[in-house]
Amino acid sequence: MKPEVGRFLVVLAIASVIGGIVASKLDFRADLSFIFPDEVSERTRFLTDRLSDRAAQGTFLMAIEGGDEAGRQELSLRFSRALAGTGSFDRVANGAGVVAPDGFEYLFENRYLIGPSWNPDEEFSTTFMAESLQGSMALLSTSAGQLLRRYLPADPTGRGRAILAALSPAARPASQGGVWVSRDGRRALIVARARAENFDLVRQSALLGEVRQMFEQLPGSDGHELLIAGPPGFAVATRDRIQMDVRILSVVSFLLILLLAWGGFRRPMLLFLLGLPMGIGVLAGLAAVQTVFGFVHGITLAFGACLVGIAIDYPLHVLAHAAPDGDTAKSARAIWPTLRLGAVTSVAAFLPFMLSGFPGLAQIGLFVATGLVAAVLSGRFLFPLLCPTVTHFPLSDRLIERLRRLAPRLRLPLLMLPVAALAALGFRWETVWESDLRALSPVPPDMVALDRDLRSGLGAPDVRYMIAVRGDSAEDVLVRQEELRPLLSRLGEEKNIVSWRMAADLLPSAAEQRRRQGEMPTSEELRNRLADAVAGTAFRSDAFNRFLADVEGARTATPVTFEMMASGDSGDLITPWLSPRPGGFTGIVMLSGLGEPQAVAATIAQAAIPGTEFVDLKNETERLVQSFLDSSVLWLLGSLLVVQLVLYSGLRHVAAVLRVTGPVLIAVTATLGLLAGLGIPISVFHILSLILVAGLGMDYGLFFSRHGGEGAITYRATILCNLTTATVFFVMAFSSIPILHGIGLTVAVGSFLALVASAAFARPVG
Amino acid sequence: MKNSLVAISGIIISLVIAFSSLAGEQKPLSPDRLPEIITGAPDHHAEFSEERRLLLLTEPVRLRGTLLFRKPDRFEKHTISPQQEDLVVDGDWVTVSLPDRNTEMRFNMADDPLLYGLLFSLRSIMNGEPGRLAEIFEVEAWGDGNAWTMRLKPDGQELAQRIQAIRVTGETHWIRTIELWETSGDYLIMTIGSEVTE
Repeated sequence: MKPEVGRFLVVLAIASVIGGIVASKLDFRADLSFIFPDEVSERTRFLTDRLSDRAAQGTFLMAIEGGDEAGRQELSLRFSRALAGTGSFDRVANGAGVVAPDGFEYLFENRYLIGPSWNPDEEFSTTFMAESLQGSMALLSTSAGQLLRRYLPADPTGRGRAILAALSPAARPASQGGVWVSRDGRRALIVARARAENFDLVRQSALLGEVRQMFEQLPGSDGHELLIAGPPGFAVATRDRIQMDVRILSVVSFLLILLLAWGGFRRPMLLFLLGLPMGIGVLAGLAAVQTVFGFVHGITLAFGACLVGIAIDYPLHVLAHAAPDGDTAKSARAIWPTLRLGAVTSVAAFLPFMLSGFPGLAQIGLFVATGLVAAVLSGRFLFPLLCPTVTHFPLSDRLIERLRRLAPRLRLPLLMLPVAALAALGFRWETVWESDLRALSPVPPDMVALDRDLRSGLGAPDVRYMIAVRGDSAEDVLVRQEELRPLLSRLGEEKNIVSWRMAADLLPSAAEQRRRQGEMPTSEELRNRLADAVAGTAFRSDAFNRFLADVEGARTATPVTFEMMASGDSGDLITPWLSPRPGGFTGIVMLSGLGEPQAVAATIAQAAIPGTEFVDLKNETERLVQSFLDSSVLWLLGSLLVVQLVLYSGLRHVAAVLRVTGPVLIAVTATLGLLAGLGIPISVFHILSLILVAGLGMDYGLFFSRHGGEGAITYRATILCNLTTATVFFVMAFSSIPILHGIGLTVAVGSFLALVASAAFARPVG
Repeated sequence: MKNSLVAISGIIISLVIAFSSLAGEQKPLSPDRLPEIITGAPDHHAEFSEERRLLLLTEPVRLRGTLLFRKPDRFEKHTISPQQEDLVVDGDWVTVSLPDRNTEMRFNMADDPLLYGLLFSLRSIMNGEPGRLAEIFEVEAWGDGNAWTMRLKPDGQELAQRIQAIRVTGETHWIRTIELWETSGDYLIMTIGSEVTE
């Protein structure tokens, strides 16, 4: 056995042990939290809360499509029952049956203290009670009234129903045959909430598989399709698509490296060796990020994996520069200063990000910087040990010579590119930047559309406007919301809002509850009024003794507090609307159907109720995304500056620095221009990709400027590097994941332009 | 004194009337013999009247309308008065709609123990499978092919929590009355008129 084979096995063994350890420690996250700055303002906290809402995380939104109406209804019924039967969900709803939310019993027990306010002159008046009894009488003869029969003795006025109505969404889902359907009636809708222990991605993914299988096994499910959205559907679909894309990318990269290793260098072993520095780099990056941040964001990995683009260049350079005598150790020594300067510059380019206030950017910066250092070191020291000699080289000298002669002729057109690019940017300036949060999400666009459709069908459209109400205590917030109520009613009358929802509508302040208690009739009084109401009906005079007892109990009870409600079964009903925050409590008032948002905002501001503030979530999101983008552009400029300094310290000549960075600038601006020209909004991922392009371009430029004299060798090395990079990223550009698509397109185009420009402006040979 | 005498004799008379159908005319019948008598009804429709005596009310609620039965598991009950209501059972699923109120509700039969008990006994008899009654009830029977009576007591706990007993009377494969005593004290009796075979 050759010594290098033994070494390779040792390295492989060590790498897999380390890899195993790193993998076992990793904690992945895939939400959007990476774009949020460390210091979250009170306003943006609403966004982070909404995006990382735990209850929402386990909610499966499902739709059954295809077949005919009756078939879908039948399936919806069977399917919901099967879902409920698994025990993995604590709530399955499809519109069928009578479903009171968890915690309703608690609300019913306290029905006179909590829930929507009532008019004391009406609620317990003889007239109102007589009317209610009449309505109930008609229902008693029906099968539908069977539930009523159970509650009627305690609740003849239908207070429980009033509370239930206040809980259900303002817009009820459309219903067909007793089953929820989408607005167009062509999908049957089902909502299921997984039990808390099923919230993690692995469990959700397994559950999703079980759910699909269960559906397919239902009799009559042929010809029907089950669509699943909601966070679990998202997470799993996103992961599956990323996995599929990664698989395609891996196959393409494998074939490409195989072609290079076997066809080009005639060393099949290189198939593994070329990827080794990159693999070590990724491991090092993961380990560093996990250690520093305690978790690795999915985006960090997706982006960090682009290390491939740079890291595979290191062994390629070492190989290609071994042309004179085939000794890779010698070539590694010879090009080390250039390799080192290139790597240091790239690390320097990503360094500023590590200092940024956005954990997402900082993670990517740390990942790439650590990964590059590890990769370049293994390229320099480890690779020659494992592959001491090389005898064959790809690309014939004649071809390279031809390309080399062609290159300088491209100077003029290349100089025109930035001008055209700036024109395109200027022309489309208004729409150049991406401010939509969704564009940053790794979720495929068709899934987002499905989710929106299902949500609106279920009467839970995205809420855009709200009023934040803050206070020192929960009671404070509730009192302020009650102060707000007349204002909201007025806005409703003026048709400026259609409806609102807030904690105080369900849980009145203690003060309000005491006021209600004061207005409840005494036991004796109520008994008399009830007797009048019952007289002349078919109800027995003593039928409602429980009602009398319950009202008397409510009249003398201690008011219900937020803490009492939040800690019980009914906690899920109140905590989304009111929750403790550092330094107090915050409640939200969701507004819907706003006529003129500005007018509403002005009215709220004018009322000057302390602690209240009108919030436009869409604006807030856009502001957040914009500030994320702004700061990444700022960091891009910062890193370009750092790069110049590092290069100058290495090259010691302004002209040499210009020769290296000039082509990079051309490539970067031209790529930006191309994106703008194609109408692709530029997001933070494009910016980060451009830094990668700059890193690659600088490597090319450095090699041309320092080793240009070596003739065909440098051309071969850089062309090989670029072909590998551009091909892999070109394949990535076809990904259905917006982020991967953006990165792929940018790097493929950018790196190719950087190569052409570097070659064109390289020092003439000789 | 006179009043209580009247009351006592009233009770005795009504007891005699109530039990006459059981004790007076009908002799105990082994449930094993039921399959010979109840051989299954053809698809048909019929008028019905129903009386519900609820503890809440001083007087019964009276319903009337039509029933429809199709083998093996389609059952429809269309109430015309006092409140229009359509109850359609297909397989295990029940759809209840109130046309006046424009509401429609759908649920699984098993979620409503009362309805389940009634429908299960009704179906078993109409389909000519009285043997199935023993799956969820303790069955006692009296009479013969011309007139029979069955008393069903729920076996399972879930059913027993809501239903105290069901009594069904009939002639050959037709049902004449169904009575249901709820554990809550409420009671209903449905009387089925002459069937029209489809």
